[in-house]
Amino acid sequence: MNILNKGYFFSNMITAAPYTLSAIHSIMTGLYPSKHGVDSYFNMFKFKKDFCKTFAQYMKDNGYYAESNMVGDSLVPTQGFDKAEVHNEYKDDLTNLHKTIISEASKKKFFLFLQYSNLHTQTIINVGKKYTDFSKEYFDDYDRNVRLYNEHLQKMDNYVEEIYNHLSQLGLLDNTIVIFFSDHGTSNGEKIGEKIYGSFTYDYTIKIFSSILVPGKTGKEIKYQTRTIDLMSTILEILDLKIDKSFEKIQGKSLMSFVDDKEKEDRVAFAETGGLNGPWPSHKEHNVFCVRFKNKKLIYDKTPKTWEFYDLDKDPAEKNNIYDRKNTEVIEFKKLLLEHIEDKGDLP
Amino acid sequence: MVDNTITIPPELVEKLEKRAKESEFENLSDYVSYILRQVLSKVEAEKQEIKDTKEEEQVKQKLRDLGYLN
Repeated sequence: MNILNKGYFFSNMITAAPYTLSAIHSIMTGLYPSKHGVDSYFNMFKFKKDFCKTFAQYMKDNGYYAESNMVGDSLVPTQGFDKAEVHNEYKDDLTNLHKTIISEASKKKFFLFLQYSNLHTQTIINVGKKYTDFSKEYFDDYDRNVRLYNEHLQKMDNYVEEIYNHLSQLGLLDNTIVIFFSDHGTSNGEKIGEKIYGSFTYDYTIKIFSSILVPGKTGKEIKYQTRTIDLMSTILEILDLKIDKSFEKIQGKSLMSFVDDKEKEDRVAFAETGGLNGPWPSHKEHNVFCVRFKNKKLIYDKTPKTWEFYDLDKDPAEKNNIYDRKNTEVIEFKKLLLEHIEDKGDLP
Repeated sequence: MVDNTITIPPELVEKLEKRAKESEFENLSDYVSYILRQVLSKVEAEKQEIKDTKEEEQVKQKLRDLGYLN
């Protein structure tokens, strides 16, 4: 899409968790799930609010009016928001609703966090409520699933275009940073056991994108691997806001070094989840973890205690598990992943 | 934001200053605040465990509202 190319377009970004609840808490704190506390669907109320400073708190502390508009009231940490509203995904016209919110907020210095949830709505209606994670008729018709999904993607494109044009008409593009991002991907029937997302950490749910439109700056695509936990630090750097060191240390790092061509290597990215359904549901703790680096990926499925290793250049669909515990790369990846999982954040 | 003054025994201040210098903190206030936040966070998490049973139904309802549970 042209609008994405107008910004710093990170086309190879990895989410910290392939479901909104945990993914958004990571974006809003620059932390992986075990650090911010929302590390399972059932831990939705366990955000470590006294220990993690949110993006909205940074903005609020620096004089911005902050408002969110989401599909659920637990999807984003509310600390720092002056107003945290919920929309009705089945009734509200999100384009008009969000245009109105933007118009109103633009009367002052503002930070808005707006969710386009209709892709979720359609996914739940067309897949979530119709099939199980093992429905043969769903997994047998990948092409139909993709076709249906793409129809709804087009509606989202229309939303993005209308929001962008609205910002332009209000004259906000000259003095406002705009970020378009996806929090996670979705299955179209690639792997039996996961009809939508949240059960596994394969690329179709963890690979996402973001685009940061900065006034006066030319667009640029960055193809190196980046992480959603890097977004907050990036914006803090662009706005020249000081990081508050009395809170948990932000794990994400600014992406501006890629923009300035000072960093030229993929960043090591971790993702984790615990499914509500699927082959090994885990409502109360994450039980699937992966590390992705240099287009290779190691996955640890904690419940069955199995490992998977993929060469994503040769095998982007992750069909050929080449895990060999004696392989040097596997050993290196396993060390990285286990250190990440076991990092409990000791007192310095 | 209001800054409050609290009294800490000198020998403890000495130890804290030593540890703060050995870590990445720029000043003692940041370091002490960090430690207090972490302790508070752990205490709050323990309190949360007790509430878990009551909240589980709330969690399930929110997941039903989002279409994830039947």
